[in-house]
Amino acid sequence: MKEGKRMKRMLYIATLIISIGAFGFAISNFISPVPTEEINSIIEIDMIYMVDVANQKELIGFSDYVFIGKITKNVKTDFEESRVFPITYYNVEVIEVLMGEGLESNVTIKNIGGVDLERNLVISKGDFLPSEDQYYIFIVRISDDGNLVMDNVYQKIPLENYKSNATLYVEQIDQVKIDILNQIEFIPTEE
Amino acid sequence: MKGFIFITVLLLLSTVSFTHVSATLEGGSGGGGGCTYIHYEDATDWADNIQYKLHNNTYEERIESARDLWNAKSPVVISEDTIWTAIDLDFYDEYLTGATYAAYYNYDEGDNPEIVFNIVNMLTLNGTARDNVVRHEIGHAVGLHHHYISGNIMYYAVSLQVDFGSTDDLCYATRW
Repeated sequence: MKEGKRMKRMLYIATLIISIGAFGFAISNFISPVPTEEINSIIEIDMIYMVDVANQKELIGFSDYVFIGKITKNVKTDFEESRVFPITYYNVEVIEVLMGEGLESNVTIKNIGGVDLERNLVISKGDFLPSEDQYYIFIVRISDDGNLVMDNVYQKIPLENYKSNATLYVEQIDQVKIDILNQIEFIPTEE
Repeated sequence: MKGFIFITVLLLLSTVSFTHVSATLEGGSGGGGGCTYIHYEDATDWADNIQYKLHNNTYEERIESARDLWNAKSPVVISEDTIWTAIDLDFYDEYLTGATYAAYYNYDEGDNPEIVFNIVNMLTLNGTARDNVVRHEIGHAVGLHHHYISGNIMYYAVSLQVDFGSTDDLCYATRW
């Protein structure tokens, strides 16, 4: 009889523990930081790149400009230029040019990737959208329409609070300058 | 004592069940010891075959050559769509200057998966590199992820690799 009571008590405790766990799990999902009202889902697309974009020397060798810039405005999203990717246009204030000539103080960058009409974030695998008022080192190419283009995560290196903490990034920027000097030039292999 | 055993068994069962669900969601490693660069967002139909449609593509012959290469492996059979078949995969071209990509594979739950070539960049490549790109993209359509192991068609950047490497073979065998 005593044993039966103990079993019952244990069963109650076990049920309680499982209930608390399930409740905690549900709550953690409920307060998830993902802004579901803004983005329905993230669609990441597999690209094959012309060069090893994770190798900064190769990426720079394939690029026209390297500069420190601040995103001043997310201007618009175009849905016609690419079959799959929304293309997000940003106004960018050029802070310091590290490579390339003739760059104006304000430029437009086309980011291949953005939020589509169904509120899905469509980006290349591992990529992200840059934020307004944030600083980045941009490693970009120029398109026929005169805008600068980026389509992968390695083309924008975040410099958080760069204006007030520029000294924090001296080493990182120096490394980019070294990679510019040692860049691996892309040689087209057209037949 | 019995209560303690009961709770322990309950917790163990929960853990095993949770682990199983997690592994299923992540796609797993293909049965242990196999390739992890595989995915299930491929273009195969119920019979593990792919019927594709061309849309005035610049590189139709290279697509056919890549198709034959992948068909040398079993079991997935890739063939051009006919009036008797349903389309599983579309090939398109686009022209975007300033981009760093040569092509991409897009799996769309609401539509057919598609392979899109950026002709602007493809034109700067020689024939071997173009074949590499086309073969790589069809590799995505049969369920392989790309990776960072050179000497394989599924290496993530354009190369002159047009034959299967050991990781390509392992991944295909793991997936299929």
